[in-house]
Amino acid sequence: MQVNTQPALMVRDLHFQYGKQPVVRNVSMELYPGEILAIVGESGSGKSTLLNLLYGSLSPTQGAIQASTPDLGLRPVSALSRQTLRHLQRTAWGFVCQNPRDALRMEISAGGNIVERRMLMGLRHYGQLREEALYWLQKVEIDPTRLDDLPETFSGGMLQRLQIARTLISQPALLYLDEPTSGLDVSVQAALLDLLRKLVIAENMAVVLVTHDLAVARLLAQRIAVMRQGEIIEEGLADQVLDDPQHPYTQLLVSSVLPA
Amino acid sequence: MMPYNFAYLDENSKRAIRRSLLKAVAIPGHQIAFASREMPLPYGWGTGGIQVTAAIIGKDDILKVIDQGADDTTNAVSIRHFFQSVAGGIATTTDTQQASIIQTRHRIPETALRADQIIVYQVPMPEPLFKLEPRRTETRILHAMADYSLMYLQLYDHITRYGRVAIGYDYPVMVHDRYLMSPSPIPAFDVPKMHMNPALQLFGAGREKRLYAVPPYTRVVPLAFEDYPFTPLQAQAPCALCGSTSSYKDEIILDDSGKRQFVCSDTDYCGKTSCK
Amino acid sequence: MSYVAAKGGAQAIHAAHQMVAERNAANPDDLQAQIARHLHLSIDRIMAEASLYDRDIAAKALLQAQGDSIEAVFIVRAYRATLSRFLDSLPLNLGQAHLQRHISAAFKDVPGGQQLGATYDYSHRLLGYFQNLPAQEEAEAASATSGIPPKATLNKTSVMELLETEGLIEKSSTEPADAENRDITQIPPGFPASRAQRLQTLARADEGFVLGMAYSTQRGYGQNHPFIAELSHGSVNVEICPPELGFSLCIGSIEMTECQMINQFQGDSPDTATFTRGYGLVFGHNERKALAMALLDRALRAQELGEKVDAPAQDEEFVLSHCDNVEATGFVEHLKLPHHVDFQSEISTLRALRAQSPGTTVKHDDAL
Repeated sequence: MQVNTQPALMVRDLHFQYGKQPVVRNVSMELYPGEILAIVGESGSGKSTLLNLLYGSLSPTQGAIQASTPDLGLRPVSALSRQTLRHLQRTAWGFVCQNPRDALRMEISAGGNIVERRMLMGLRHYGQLREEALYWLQKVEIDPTRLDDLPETFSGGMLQRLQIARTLISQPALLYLDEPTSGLDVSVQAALLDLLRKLVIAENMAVVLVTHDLAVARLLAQRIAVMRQGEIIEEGLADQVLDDPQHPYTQLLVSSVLPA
Repeated sequence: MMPYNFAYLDENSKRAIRRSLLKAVAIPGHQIAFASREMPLPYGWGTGGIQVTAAIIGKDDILKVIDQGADDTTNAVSIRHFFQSVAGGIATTTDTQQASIIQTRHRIPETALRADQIIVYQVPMPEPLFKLEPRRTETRILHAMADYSLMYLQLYDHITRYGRVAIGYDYPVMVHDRYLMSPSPIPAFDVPKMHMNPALQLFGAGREKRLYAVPPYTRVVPLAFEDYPFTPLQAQAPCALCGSTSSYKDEIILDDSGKRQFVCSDTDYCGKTSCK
Repeated sequence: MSYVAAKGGAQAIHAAHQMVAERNAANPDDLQAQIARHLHLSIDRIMAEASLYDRDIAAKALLQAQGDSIEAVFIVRAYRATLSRFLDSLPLNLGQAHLQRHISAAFKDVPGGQQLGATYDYSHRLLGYFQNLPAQEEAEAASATSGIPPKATLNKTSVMELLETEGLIEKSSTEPADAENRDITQIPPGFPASRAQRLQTLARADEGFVLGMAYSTQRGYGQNHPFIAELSHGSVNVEICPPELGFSLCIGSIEMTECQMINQFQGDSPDTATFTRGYGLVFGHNERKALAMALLDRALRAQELGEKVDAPAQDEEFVLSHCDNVEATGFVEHLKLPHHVDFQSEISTLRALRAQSPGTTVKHDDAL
């Protein structure tokens, strides 16, 4: 696979605080298309805040984030107009929430939920929209007869798959995942992660995954960054970080994972 | 009764409303907030339309007022009497072709309008998305972003569930390819009349304190999908009085056995057609 | 039988109005003055909700409305809309009010004393009660050792000011309202609304709606632990300062009811935590409204004070959009207007749906 020399995401000296409380400190990183980076840490480490900063839902107190846009390459996120940012967030970028109910429209059919992005992109043909919805429903391994059902009738795992379909349909170049499998049964988690990995690799997406679960990180990511009290204290290839942690905190994290 | 300024409102109020109307005309389909005055008719009964008419009417104007297409429905009569008593001297008419200003509730006249006419619509809920999102703080952002996916999703699900878009009145339209607008609760049947109309179309919502406008010769396109085009429904029979097959009809139940007839809702049009 | 186009809307309206006029014509001549005097609390409510202080106009409207107070408010507001404005008064100096009633629940005693005034708060709700006051009451009153002077006191120091000096309560805002916030009947508020706009809206809001919303906060829907610091009712002078004169003069006095509420304390640290406030002010004598308004004012400040907003009373857009009874009754009652054209399109739509898929669910051509 050809490696793209242009990064999809570039972060320099990122700093964010709520009032007087620093939540993200001095974070720098780069991400290339096709790379999957997991940011792991305990709750309170600042990882979810970091994800929201990258996506543009929060503005940094200091530092710069540059993200790739379809027409103009890397652009500083803080310089984008509200309209442009919102449009990017709904087309070229994707964000999968921990709780799918936060992202889905529960009063709209599953099919409608899936194709919303395509309608936003200008597709106005019901038959084509429906076809695409069906295609993606099958791609995320949901029974196609559920296409017209309301999400209220779906299980937690199905809702998360629905959210994934709804987000990936626009083939985003940048994908952010916030604890995508928390709250799901362990048996369901593995299948979902497997599906995710297949989909993002096929589309050569640049992915940032936030999780407190090291097993999830190992299953999905090639690189891991460990976050503690707002700072990244260790970073490297997933296997290396997990099998040979250098920082005492990482060692603590890894050792506290219950053996299978 | 106490003496009032011509057309009831004081000149400053009229000027303020006209300024808002100018803004509205400059941005077709976009809702402009305005300081709606308390009128002697209740909110919800046409105060927006009345304020617009009061702001633009002059001594030489000829006013027609209709409700449900007819000049003689109770509220149309009440509004026409109001203007007759506070704008002494202005002529009123039931003849669509004679009128210079037509104030209407829930219908567009069948007779085509001209460039020298103004039609004023009474609007209960100016926000086209309100049934899907009642918060103004949200819909304001959606309009600014031209993000109307909420409405398209509703249409998608209608087709999924019913096989067609099941919106009979107050059908959402795109104005000048930019703003989603409520045409007021006119039947979907009437929507095509708004497109490229030579007359100026003004919309007043008194209780909600919003004005908007469609300037002459502006594109007004009902929302639809390419493979499910906009197809408003027609009545099932010609008019029992004048025989017209092209007008919007009221259904009248005649007797206890449910026997029914269809009659033009536009009384002026019906009267003229049956005379031919 | 064929249909004859229904005419006669004008005659029907005329006949309806005649019937109302006939009823009103039977009123005795001095009834309006009697109403202004004996139903004065009703008149006060009308003045408050119409935002116009004029007892005669309010009484006339109530009579014309045959006792329907919301209808009366509507009439007075419509009249108010025709009046020209030539000057704003100076801010009312409520500290210099001539009080008939002044109580505090938060403190046992306050500067100026606890003055019950004329109130039925502690009466027994028995028909004819005030004509036959129990002998017991009179006897106890005669033997009371300390008497609070019945005369009103001027220049009282507000309890809130004392708390402010001690740093225990947030300071009240002393900024005068700017042009945009001055008068919601001239510049309608948008959302988010400023506190001044919210208070103006509440002052003329429907008493029942404000009461219900306030009650909900006490039952846990947006709880804020209220205590009445001061509830006052009395007359206050209205002063204007015409630019041509360059000095102020008093043009009369109006009756007001004011409620200062102390609400739960909050703050980042023990040193900086202060009590918060709610405020209510209405024309005339209406304690229920002033109290409810203060509770609702505080609830609507939730976002400003960094509190979680999850109760209906804290939802600014919901409360302020639905609290005006003239708007509400207009829209609710507009359902009486003819809607046969819209309904016709609904019937046609439903018939069309039935016709295209009789008895089955819609089938789509899905290639599975």
